[in-house]
Amino acid sequence: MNNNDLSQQVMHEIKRREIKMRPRLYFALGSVLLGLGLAGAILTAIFFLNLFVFRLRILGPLNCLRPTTFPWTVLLVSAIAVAAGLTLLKRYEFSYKKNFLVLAIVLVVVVGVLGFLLDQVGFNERMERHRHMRPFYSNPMK
Amino acid sequence: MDDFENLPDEEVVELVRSKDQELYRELVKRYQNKLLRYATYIVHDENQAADVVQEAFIKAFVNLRGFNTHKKFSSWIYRIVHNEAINQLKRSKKVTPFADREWLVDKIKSDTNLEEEFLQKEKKEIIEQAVEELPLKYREPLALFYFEEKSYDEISDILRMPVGTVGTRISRGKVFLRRLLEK
Repeated sequence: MNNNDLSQQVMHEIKRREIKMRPRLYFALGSVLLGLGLAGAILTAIFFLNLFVFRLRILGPLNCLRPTTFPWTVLLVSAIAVAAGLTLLKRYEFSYKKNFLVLAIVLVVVVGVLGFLLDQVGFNERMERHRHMRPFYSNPMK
Repeated sequence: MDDFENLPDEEVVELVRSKDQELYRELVKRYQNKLLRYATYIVHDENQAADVVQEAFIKAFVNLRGFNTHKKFSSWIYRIVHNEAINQLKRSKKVTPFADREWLVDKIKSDTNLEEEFLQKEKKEIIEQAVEELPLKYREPLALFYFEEKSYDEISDILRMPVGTVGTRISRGKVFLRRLLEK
């Protein structure tokens, strides 16, 4: 490849391959989806952590310590949602300017505190009454 | 085309997006040599570097409407070249060649002040060759700082790492480089 005239080659390739610029809408949609994905991941993490706290509470201190009754599944879903949130957070430009470990700790603390608070204010008792939410509350031993 | 020579990159980008795509040539001309040099530091092969830069310019063109003109075009295009070069490196899995550096050591031994060496054009070439032997994580920020004359902030934008990490890597890279030259 002749390196001296790269501009010629680049413009030639753009024309030959009929390369077009992506529309602004593509990037706007990408930003919106990223924001929705991040918000969704954080809300999912908070909800499942709140469910985890709720199940521990209704299982009682003895049952919740047994590996067979410990609510592993909801804790795992919450952890996966936190991991997804962190992955999406990394795609934001500001994230590399900050210490990512600090951002990760902040996210985990926020999820933890809100998950705990949600259970304390009676959120789960209210949700249990909704038909669509019953599957989450039907078997606390899972 | 000459009218556009004095315009800042970001304004040229705006014109390419809204008026004349042919003006993209001007942006390519401005950066082709610098980017070829930077890509060569990473992939160690001029032909591969040329392919990397060409592909990076095409990707930049495709995504030009996603570029925020309030930011620096140079950091953005360096970032694209950086990604392309790293991908190329992974594809080729090329082992960094260790050049014969005996003559380098003889020349450099008399002067132990690394900072001064960077300022002397004649010795810059010597350092350039030694930098090529550094691990990639030190080679990238050192090449950008000393040879491409980028600020810590710009390097942070190009390599996507905190400014503090850029400083640490440059500092450790210099120590590594000094050891390499003293061997």
